[in-house]
Amino acid sequence: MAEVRLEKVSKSFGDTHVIPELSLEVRSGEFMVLVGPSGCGKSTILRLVAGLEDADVGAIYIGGARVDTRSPKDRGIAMVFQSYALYPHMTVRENMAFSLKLAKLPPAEITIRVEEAAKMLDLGELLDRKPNQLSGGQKQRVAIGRAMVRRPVVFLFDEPLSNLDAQLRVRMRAEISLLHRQLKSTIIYVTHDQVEAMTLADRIAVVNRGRIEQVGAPLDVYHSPKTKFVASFIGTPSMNFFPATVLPPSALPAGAAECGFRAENAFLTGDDAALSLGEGRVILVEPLGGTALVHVEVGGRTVVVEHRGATLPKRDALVNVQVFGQNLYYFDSRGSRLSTGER
Amino acid sequence: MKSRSLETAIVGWALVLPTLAVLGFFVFLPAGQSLYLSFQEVDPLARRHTFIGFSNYRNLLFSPDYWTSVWVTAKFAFVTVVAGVGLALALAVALDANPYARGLMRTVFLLPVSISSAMAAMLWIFLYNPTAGYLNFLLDLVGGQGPNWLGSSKWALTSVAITTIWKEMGFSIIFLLAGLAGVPNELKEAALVDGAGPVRRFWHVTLPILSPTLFFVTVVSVIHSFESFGQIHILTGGGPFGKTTTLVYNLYIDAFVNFRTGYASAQAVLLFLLMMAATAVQFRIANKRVHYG
Amino acid sequence: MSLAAEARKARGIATAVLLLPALVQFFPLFYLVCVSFKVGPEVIQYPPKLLPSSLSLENYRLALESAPLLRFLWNSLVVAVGITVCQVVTSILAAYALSRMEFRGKKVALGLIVATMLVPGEVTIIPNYFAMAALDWLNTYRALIAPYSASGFGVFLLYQFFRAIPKELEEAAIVDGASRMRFLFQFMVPLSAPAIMAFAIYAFVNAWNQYLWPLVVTQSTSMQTVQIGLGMFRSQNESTSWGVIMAATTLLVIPSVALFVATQKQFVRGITMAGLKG
Repeated sequence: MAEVRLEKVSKSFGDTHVIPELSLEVRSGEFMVLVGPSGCGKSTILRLVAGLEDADVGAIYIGGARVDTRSPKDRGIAMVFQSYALYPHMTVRENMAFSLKLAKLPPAEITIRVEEAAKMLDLGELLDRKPNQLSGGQKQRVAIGRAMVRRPVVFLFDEPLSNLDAQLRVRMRAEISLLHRQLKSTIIYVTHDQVEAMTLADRIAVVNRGRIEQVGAPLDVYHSPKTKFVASFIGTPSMNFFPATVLPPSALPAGAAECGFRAENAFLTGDDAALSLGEGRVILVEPLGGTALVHVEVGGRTVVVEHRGATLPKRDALVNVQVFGQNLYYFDSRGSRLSTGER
Repeated sequence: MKSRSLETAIVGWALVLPTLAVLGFFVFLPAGQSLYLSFQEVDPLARRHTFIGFSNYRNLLFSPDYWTSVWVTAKFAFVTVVAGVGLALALAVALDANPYARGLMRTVFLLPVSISSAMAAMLWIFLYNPTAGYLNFLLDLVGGQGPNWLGSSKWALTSVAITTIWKEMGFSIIFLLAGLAGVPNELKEAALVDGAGPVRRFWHVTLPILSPTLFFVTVVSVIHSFESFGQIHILTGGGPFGKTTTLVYNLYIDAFVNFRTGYASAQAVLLFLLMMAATAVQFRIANKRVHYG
Repeated sequence: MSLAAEARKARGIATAVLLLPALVQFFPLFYLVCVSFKVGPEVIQYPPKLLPSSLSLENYRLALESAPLLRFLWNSLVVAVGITVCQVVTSILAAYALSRMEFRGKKVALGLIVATMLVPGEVTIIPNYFAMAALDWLNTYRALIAPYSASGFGVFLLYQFFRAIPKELEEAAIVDGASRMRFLFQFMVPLSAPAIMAFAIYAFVNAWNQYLWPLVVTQSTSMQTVQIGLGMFRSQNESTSWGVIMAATTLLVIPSVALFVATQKQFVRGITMAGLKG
């Protein structure tokens, strides 16, 4: 397994600077997830590592060797595409064997690898079928199998689960996680779904408009977002924000700021120790079963509160939204996190 | 409600009637008549029919002229289809690779398609002129000896084929271009990651996905070649010595020059059967090698 | 190297590959025009020069004088327009009935109409000739137009397009008080305009380019179409200079080329639709 390093890489398509300047290090054997909204450039980063795009500036290293000038097949990578990209006229077996045949591996070796991958991915009965006879989930597994047989040092996944339905997605997530533990491979995984990111990753990199805003373990990023963007992108439902003014004396710089808190840290019952945002009107209650998401209009904004009580507030009811001070995050006007040193 | 559906039926049939009447009278009826006439001996003034059973067919199948025309047709079809579709494929690939040139080039390649076979023949007939034509002049420049294109037994059919390919290639190019555009980019990228170079990618990814289009273009080209007439009539008139007389041309001569109606009708029937057979054979081959979906 | 980088390299090679064939495709037309301007002995001189020494219109004048070119163009126009209009109208009516109405025997009618696409011209030409002779229609516009006044392909094509128009649209129109015919011509036709246009062009070009049928059915020069007329003229006037013949050809080719240039997109669409016929 190998580590991957991007150094000061930038890429433009025509006039659009998709990636202004980016550096990233992926450790050997790590499951790194690049997460961000559509169009943020995360797929481009992946394709740069794969060699499907050439960087305008900067260097890319895989396993310590510089690979900028190498074609994808010489980089030791394998890729799982969003649309599976299975060769429609070949059987599953032939799909998986294709790259090995091109590499002129002996037939015996090819068979061994294909069977091994098929066993791991539960594809045994499907080996002689054609892609158009497979379901979405099966196609996805074949795509993974095709990547696996090459025994790459880095696996690249480009939004592999977006075309699957919700239940299947959850199952495949677990399978991919299991695969990572079994193969102990370096994985770079791109998704716009932050739930996938949180559950699969050893570390996540939050990408916004071609820049990496934060890299870290999922929970670290969740609890200590460095920018307003990261705070709002990670976590469901997303963080609530409202403007605040910092008055001296305070450990934070004085002036205008934005204050954020997560839905699960807010509550509606009275507690004198907590700060109150004021009285608000309930405009929507979304019961989820164990909890409910209550949308409250307060102070001119809509805020979402996670409510765990047995009784749910009714629409148009007046409630008091409260948060504990230690659960507040402050951001300056440019979106950077203002920190007092503790969280 | 019953009157509603009756009214609908009347209106419906009324709307369909013009088409059905014309097609019935000018397609189905004559088709049947051709079959009928093929079993008749018809005098040149078409006044009397005498039933002669399979005589026309027997005479045809024993006629060396007929077999010559079968052979000419086969050669002609083979050359125009293989060279025509092959060239079209190469050019379509080149056009696909260069989006900037596409607009202009497409116009140039399509221009010959817009003119008729007869006009195409008129263009080429002077080019082929052995003494004053530019073609032989060009060959002279490079040291070759230009033949009598339209007059020599050796070259006449090739000349007609060249003109035909020249005129019809654009048609195939359009379809192949559309087919090439339908090859998903991700598939080519997957192949690239798998280690396939451009040639392997073409063979393993592009060609299989293109195969339905390729098949279609081939079938249409074969049918077109069977039905070619105008250029033969103008360029060679079927000669020299029947070297460019295809089945259709032979039919024309027998029907409208020699007025052997029954005999020609039998040829028409055989031609129809032959075209069906050729298409069926192609479908058979396609079953094995064309990948759909 | 990425696909994009490979593509850049390929582009250069592709352009090189395209140049010679493009030249070959274009050359005969260019040559035609060049020869048409060459006067007298210049036409058959050897070694031949490609470009004419002057842009003399002498050949064109002679061509127009000796062959009834305008008559040929007129005949082709009448026939092609006639055939196109008839095919478009009959196809619209039939396609509407088949796609929108329910009546007994509908499937049979559709099947028969579509089946005609499989019948090659050679099988029908002899009996049709005799039919024309019997009706005393030989050498008239009627003979040239009538057999082609309907099109199985046209019905099939428009049937597919009409079927794609949602039924609710028609139902809303009927509730609003529109009659069937009104709906057809005020809604379905405009909505299918691109397809109808492309089909019309396809039908027109096919009719204009017809060779065998006009050859068989016309007897006098005054009825000959462009395709037949020129060939006949040439074979009957063996001594005519090539320059004059090329001039005549150029004149007769201009309408086809002009139509193509003017309607390129539709033209291509028309060809592509003809492909679906297969």
